[in-house]
Amino acid sequence: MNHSYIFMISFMFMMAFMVFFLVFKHILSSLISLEFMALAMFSMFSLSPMLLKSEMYSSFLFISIVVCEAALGLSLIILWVRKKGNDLFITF
Amino acid sequence: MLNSFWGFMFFIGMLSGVWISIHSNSWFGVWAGLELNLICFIPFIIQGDTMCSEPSVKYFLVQACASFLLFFSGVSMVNYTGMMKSLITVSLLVKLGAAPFYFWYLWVGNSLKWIQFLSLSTIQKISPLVLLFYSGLNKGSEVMIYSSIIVGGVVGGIGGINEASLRKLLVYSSLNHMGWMMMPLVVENELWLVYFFFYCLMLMMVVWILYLLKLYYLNQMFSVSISWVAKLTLLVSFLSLGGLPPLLGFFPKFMVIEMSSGSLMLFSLFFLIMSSVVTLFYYLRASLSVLMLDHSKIKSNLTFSEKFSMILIMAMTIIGGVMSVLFFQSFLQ
Repeated sequence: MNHSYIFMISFMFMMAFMVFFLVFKHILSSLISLEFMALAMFSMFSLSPMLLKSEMYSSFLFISIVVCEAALGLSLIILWVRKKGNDLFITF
Repeated sequence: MLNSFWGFMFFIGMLSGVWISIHSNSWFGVWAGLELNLICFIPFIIQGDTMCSEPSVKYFLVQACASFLLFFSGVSMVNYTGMMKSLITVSLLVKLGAAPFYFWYLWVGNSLKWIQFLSLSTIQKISPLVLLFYSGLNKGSEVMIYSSIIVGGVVGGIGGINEASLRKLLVYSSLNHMGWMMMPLVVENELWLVYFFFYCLMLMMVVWILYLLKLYYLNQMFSVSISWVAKLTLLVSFLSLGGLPPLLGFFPKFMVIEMSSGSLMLFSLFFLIMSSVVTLFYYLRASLSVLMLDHSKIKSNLTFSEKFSMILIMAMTIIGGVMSVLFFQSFLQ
């Protein structure tokens, strides 16, 4: 566990952010990339207090709010699919 | 939204989210408040049209992405470089729907009913604006905000010319007003809050009349026949939104102009003033069609309380402007 891991996790977040913008077909893909961003941040929250040797409770708070948001996203997709029949952005 | 118990709870949650994100002293609290605001606002959007979730999905995706970006760039300020500062500003501009990140605001705002549109334009803008002000990140790297001001002013002016939907018109006008609001915000003057308050008031007046008459498109305005008091109120409200003296909407613009006229911000001020004239054009076009034409087939009867609100709107618009200068003169120094 050394300090270069924070750079790796920041890189992971930036890649997740880029993937979020490259999605153009399924809405579920954009939700998955949101969760990927949350995963990168969760690992950053778990890692940096370990390096600084301080307490680590903030990762727990973070993940609980992220789970609420993910559930909201899923229920929005369910509404979308109920109306349109699939979860694609563009249907014709 | 305020009719049912859970609707009331969601509304309280929305305001609590704003409150938490304003009053927290770490980026974690800011992010928690923004997420609470988002989670409690989505049912509000769905309530307008229960089977259609398209605006709520677009709103959710954009706002969730922006708040993650905000949190990440706030937390990794360990490397305090210029790129991170502008990344925080970028994410706050995405959450506001300011230029050049306004496309989601156009799509989402065009699919909402008036009450949801009003709360999207007023309540959801409070916490990103306060965060832009209090973060103090705009000292060394003001390029991002100045480009947002100029582009927002110009796009808000020119983009609304070809619009037939009243909600898109008001979205472009809010782009323009965001440019005006961010002018005092960059130099850390509290005048932006005064402007924001006046903008909320003026937008509420315009949206209230359009909500009572259920007008969503420009061609619907030709076929509504209302009393001359209501027509005049609509015209006066639109003109005050455009910033015509002596109405209410002129005085915040005048205070911003007076604040920034002696300084180096004259360049962006020029663009803002020129684009205000263009916004006035499309407000006039929208309101004069109601005023001049009289289609006698469809009449709209307003109740006594609605007529009273018309008179209140007129009084606030005409008298309130002059009063406001007396109250807010201290911001001009």
